[in-house]
Amino acid sequence: MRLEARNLTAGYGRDGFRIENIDLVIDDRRITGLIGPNGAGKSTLLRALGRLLKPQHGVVLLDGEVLHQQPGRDVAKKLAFLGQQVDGVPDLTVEELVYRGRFPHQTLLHRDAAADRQSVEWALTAMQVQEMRSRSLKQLSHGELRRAWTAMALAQRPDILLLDEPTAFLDLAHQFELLDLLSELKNHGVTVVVSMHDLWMTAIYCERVIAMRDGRIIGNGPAEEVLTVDLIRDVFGVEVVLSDLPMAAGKRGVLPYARRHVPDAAATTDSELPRPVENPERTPSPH
Amino acid sequence: MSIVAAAPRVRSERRSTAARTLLAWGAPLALLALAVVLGLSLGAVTLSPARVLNGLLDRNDPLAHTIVWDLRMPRVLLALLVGASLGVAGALLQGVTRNPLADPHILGLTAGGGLAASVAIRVSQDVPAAALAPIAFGGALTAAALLYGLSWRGGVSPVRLALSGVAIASMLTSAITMILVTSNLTTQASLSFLAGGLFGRGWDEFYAVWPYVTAGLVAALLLSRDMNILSLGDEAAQSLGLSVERTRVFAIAAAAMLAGAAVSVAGMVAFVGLLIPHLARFLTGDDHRSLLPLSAILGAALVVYADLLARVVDKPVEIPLGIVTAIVGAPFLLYMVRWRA
Repeated sequence: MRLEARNLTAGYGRDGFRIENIDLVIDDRRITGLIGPNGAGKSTLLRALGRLLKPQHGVVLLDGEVLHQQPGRDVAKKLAFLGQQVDGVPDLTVEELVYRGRFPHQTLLHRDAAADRQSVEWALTAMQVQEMRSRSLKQLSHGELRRAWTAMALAQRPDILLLDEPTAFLDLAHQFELLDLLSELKNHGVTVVVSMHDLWMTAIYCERVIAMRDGRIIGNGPAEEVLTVDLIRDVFGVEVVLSDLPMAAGKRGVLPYARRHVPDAAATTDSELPRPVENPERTPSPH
Repeated sequence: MSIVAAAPRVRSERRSTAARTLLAWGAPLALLALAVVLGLSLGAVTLSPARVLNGLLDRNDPLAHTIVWDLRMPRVLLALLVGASLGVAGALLQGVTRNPLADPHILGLTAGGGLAASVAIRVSQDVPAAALAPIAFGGALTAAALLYGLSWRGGVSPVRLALSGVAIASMLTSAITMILVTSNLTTQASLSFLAGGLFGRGWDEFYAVWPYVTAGLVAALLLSRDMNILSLGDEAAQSLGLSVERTRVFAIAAAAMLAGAAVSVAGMVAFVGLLIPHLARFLTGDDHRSLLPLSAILGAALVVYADLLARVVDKPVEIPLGIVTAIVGAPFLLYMVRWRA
């Protein structure tokens, strides 16, 4: 299933924040990481790709058909979006939550109990929450809760899964755990698009990377082509070193060490730039 | 796939055992059945079970027949309908606003129905019951439209709904009070309307409201699956393909229909819509497919008991129903807030 955006402009209100003139094609059966500083438009792009936000111009196409002209339930069978779910947790068990992911497949008069059961079991297993199926959501840790919600989205049986910062608030081990499970999904034919804050995790897990700044795409391609010293300086205003990680299947790690390093401050007219960093080992304090 | 069949079922400490389900449904149903029996037997005159049965079957006991069939039966049935309506309306509104404090009283739906009814009563003291039900229903629906419209800002947020509701409720309630105190209704009549009561209600009122209650309950049941999805949060619901705004409009309209039906016969009965969904949630959890029917059963039982108390505590004088529901309900809610949670 092919998800693409053509000349997409979307945002909030007439003068509010928007992403502009986005053209992209999401690679099938890959993990695509969406990176950029706060306010770059990552969530806005994900919401527009997920049919939650209507484009002001341009279109999002799902297999060549305009996404926003299709009924919500039809889309929800092919594409799942999972936000950050920070507002209250309903009093449900994990299994009850995951069952609700079957909603788009059910109508008032028709439901396929066997297919529901099978998809729920698959989703519980894929997110490794089958052992805690009868526990209340209120008893789960952050990492477990995140996996339970992701299982709910997987129970929709989507071909494409859009996740808005799934690793936010998770400790390191839980970040690895979740991203390992997400990496497995491509073997089940699921394409994953995920917005990320952590460049290191992005470098290790994402096969493709889309870099955004100020509502625009700055870079889009295979991770090793996009995650360069220059692009990261341009997008985030930070300095990184890249290092090959033979122990991680030839991945290349991205290690930020300082704010933007400017060799000669006088050479630039941009007064907002930070002063040159004398000692790149130390991160200068903001003031 | 064998994984499916062999999937380990970890037994929940919380619920999902058969015994628990049986208790969650059996106990409220038994309570309701007992309420109906007591409601028919007790009152200004206490009747033996044999005479109640005679009265019901109209067997050579004209007095029992009059008391049981003509006087008590419609009241018990009305109490049942009012309770079920308020319980379900409360559960719907708490779901829509995702706010445990929401109920038709607090959000102004009851007051909307009450205002329309009191204006009608003010204009003509002998409005027939059959006319009062649609009038109150229209009032509640208008209040619901006002509630929804005033909360609209490119979409309705649960928090705005709750806050606008509180403002609308206090506005409409003061309008009702003003109309009632400046009218030449007796104090007793206006008080029984404001505090709620089924005094003097009979079969006419029952025939007038049952269609509204039935329609509202059926609508609520049809919405229960969508309400489950809505309870996951707007964003999650939307990405599951639910029309979030449409579901909200339908749920509020169903709640308004139920609240309007209740207020048209019983006046403004407080607390049932607030308390009952908490009780139902305590018994079955957050699944609206059982939460809504259970709220109907529990609400019905509560109001039948409350009406019974209203009749017998100070007999032959009746105390307002709303006072009983508040006196019984408030401590119970406090108990749940304090020791459950």
